[in-house]
Amino acid sequence: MATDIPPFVPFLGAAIVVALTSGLLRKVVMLATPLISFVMLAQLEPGTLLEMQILGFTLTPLRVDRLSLLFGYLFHIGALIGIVYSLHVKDSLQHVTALIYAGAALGAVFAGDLISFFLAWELLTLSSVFLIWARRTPGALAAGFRYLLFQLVSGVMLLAGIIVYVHGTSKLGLDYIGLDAPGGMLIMLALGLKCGFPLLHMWLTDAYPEATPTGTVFLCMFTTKVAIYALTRTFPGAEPLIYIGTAMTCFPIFFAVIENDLRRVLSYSMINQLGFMVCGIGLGSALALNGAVSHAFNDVLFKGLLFMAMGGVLTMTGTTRASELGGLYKTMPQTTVLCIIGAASISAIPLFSAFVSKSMVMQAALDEGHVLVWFFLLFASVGVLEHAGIKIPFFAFFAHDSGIRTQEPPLNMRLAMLTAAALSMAIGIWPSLLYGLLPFDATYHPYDMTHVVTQLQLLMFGGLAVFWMMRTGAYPAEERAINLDGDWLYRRLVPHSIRTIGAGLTPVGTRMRDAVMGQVGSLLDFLERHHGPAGILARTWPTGSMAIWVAVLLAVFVAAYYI
Amino acid sequence: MIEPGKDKRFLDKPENVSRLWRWFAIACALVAAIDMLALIEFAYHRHVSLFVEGLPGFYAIWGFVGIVLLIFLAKRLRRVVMRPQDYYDGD
Repeated sequence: MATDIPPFVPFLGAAIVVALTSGLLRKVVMLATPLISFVMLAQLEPGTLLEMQILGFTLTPLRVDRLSLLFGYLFHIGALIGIVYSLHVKDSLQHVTALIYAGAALGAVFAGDLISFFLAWELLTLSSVFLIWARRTPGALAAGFRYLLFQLVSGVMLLAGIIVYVHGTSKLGLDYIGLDAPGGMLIMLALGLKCGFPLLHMWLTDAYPEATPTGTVFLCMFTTKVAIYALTRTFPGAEPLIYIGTAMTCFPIFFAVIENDLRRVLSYSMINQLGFMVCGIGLGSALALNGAVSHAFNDVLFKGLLFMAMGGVLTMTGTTRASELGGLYKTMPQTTVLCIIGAASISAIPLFSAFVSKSMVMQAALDEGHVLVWFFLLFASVGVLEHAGIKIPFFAFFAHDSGIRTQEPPLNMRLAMLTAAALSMAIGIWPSLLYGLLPFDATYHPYDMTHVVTQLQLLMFGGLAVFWMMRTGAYPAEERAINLDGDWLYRRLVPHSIRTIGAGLTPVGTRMRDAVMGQVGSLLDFLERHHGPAGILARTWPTGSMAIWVAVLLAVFVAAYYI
Repeated sequence: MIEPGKDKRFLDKPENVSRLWRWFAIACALVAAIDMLALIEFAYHRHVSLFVEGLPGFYAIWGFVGIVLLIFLAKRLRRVVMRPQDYYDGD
């Protein structure tokens, strides 16, 4: 069929066109790309395969099934929202790399084989780092390099894993791999790095808050969700993922409580949300997997919305530090409302989107008998309410009046936020909109009296505790400070250790150099004696002596000949 | 920039904040009360997968205690990891 075009093609093509155009035409191309591509995507039937032979390998750049379609729709919606949000920006670098980045994400999701997937994986890395560098501050430049290093490590691990896997199994398809397969562990770590496994997560909380206001919106939508998609395909039911996911839900919430930069709070929150998805993939039942992918779907919308709200604050005020902000609701009422909708969605308040997706993972944990995991997930759910549900909107828009008087961000930013907010609420109110797209066979009814009442209790009493601690002063005040995380290892410990060891080695080095230089000196003296101006080998001998020696040699030769 | 304290709104008055606070506390009490209705099998039947879920007020207590514990531990964490804003500058 003529429409069997992999969805990354329109995006990469548009990136070239956008690089060559400017002004209104560029905006039209940018907006039209996800729309046209979406129409083409909607015509693809599940089961469609596009294969090609390259260098003896069968590559599958297009494999359509319900799982890839779900993420395909999601990334089109995400790309459209991100493009609308960044429409006012006059920076070709960001527009071009954002389109390539979205294209790479779609390439990964529709890749049917490991080689195509790997190529898309690397393109994700290379395109996304420019959205960080485009901030054009020394901090962003450095964070971008650290980000790039981590992402490249992920790429190398993936490639190594794929080579071992393909060599060991002779299979090239991006299908179930499992931890027992050759190279399985490497592939899981590569995917895990990109979705923020504990101790491999530092790139996320380090770099995302350093990107441009619009760049972070794209970043939060694609890389981690591609990793979730790939884990769903390759490692469903891998037990370690349950515990890794649970750890991911719990450890970031402590950092989120004390973090001052609100975009960094959202980055920690992101790891927490990804934890629910990873846990669902590890549980592996149809309900859990549906929960994982539907939560990924909702997370793109509500986390995107929260990053957009904070991006709007950053654009208008120049900061997202809680210690500098407050009282912005007076001048940014629309952004405030939209941000609160995002906060309500991520907190899983009934009628908002996370309520209908996260609960599937929670229920699956109980169904599979992981009671302890369920208790931790429930604790993490209250934590979400604290840092994303209350802290983000409260410190940016309410709290104490910072005296900042600004205005609403540009119309296109508000429209993008409105779209994400409307979708988050629509999914919360009519979950069948999303449930109809889910790839796995499980039924779930989020709206029953017990679930609504228990969830309201959990959240309202959690909120009660937060406000009570705020009123009594027990709540940690916003401090103009940063917090150490795992990145301390390579940003402080290792460089300082090298410097310290270097300083310790200097006297040793000096002595060694002195010893070597002494030896070199005596060698030079020796050469000087023999080859120097007065040396025996450098003396000028008269030409006559040369003639005598030749004559002597000749005489010896003649004598020898006759004997 | 405007002098903080100028441009008073509804939320700038402490008595209004206290009023909101009271309403919220009443709403919490109402939600907890619905929990009690289920105990006497009034209005709706509570179906639970786990024994503790059925305990009256379990979710409310878990939510409240969870937040208090979270914030208490986070403040402890702050003592270990908090550094000045320019900590990494110059590295």
